[in-house]
Amino acid sequence: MREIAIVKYEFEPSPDTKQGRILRMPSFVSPELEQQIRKGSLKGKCIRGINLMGVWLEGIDFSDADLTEACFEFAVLSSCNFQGCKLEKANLKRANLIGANLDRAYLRGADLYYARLTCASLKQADLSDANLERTILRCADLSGARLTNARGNPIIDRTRMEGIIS
Amino acid sequence: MIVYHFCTLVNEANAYLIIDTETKEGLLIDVPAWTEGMQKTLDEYNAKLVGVFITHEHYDHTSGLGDLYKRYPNIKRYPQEEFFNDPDNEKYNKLTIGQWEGKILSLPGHTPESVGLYVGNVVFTGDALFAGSVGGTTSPWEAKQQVEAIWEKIFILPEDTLVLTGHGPATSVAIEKKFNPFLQNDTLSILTNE
Repeated sequence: MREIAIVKYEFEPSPDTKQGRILRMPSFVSPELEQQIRKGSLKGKCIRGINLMGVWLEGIDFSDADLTEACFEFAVLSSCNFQGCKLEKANLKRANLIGANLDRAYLRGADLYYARLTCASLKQADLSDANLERTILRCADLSGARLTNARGNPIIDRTRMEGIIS
Repeated sequence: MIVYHFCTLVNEANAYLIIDTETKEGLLIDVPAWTEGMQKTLDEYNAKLVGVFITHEHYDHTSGLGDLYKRYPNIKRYPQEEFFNDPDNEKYNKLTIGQWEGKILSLPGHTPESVGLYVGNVVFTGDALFAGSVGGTTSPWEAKQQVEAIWEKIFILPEDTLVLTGHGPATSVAIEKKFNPFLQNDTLSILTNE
């Protein structure tokens, strides 16, 4: 039987204990991009179509970046700042977006299947044509978000939805 | 240490393969299915599978055991039966993979015998804890038991501990402490109507 996806986690060994402490970046991430990720900011960068599947990117500033058609399947994007970011047709399937800030993000046609957006902020985000099947929006804030032609059955629980445009 | 995460077609359940790259020993965490990628990964590292760890007895975590035993008939299964009688006994709650020593954690709630494994800087939680959620339970008492087990066994681990779950993406102890709505300070009082 084949798998839906395979993700590899590799650890830097720590010299004083046998505990692996730091996750190594996968080999498909270029050294330049890795350096920027380590600095915590990809603000305003144009990295359309980039593959960051399963990569640990917690807390990175992606504000105003162009991530059109990028792949973030299984990536950990918790507490990331995606304000004003272009994520059109991005693959965010099964991504961990817990506590992320997606205010005014452009997610038109994005695939958020089974993505975890617990406590995320999506104020005035554009989710038109997005796939929201099994998307977890528990305690998320979708105030003023645009959901025209968005499809699927997301999990709505304590979700703020004032002023949604459907 | 390398950990491979396989998201399988069986209810989208996850399996994990830990490999000690120095000793070439491997341990499989849950077997929703025996997949091509698992064998390919073992072959790629020339690793020997020495054990299988089952987090709980639900079909979407065990369905591949039959195929696994056909290939590895002598593979050791963890936890051993004795663990459940005495989870604090170091004779049964320790597990070795090459040069790595893991600790088995009792995490009842989703099932009475749900367990996790803490090894390196990673904790495998099965269906007890997910990114932003917890496993389903059938009574408030079991829900309380599960929350207490997570607080007492997982939330005491270092904040940067990687949490690898039975379904869905990875997370960390810090992320879950901060955001998981089922594990906030008022959770127990809600569950016990206090």
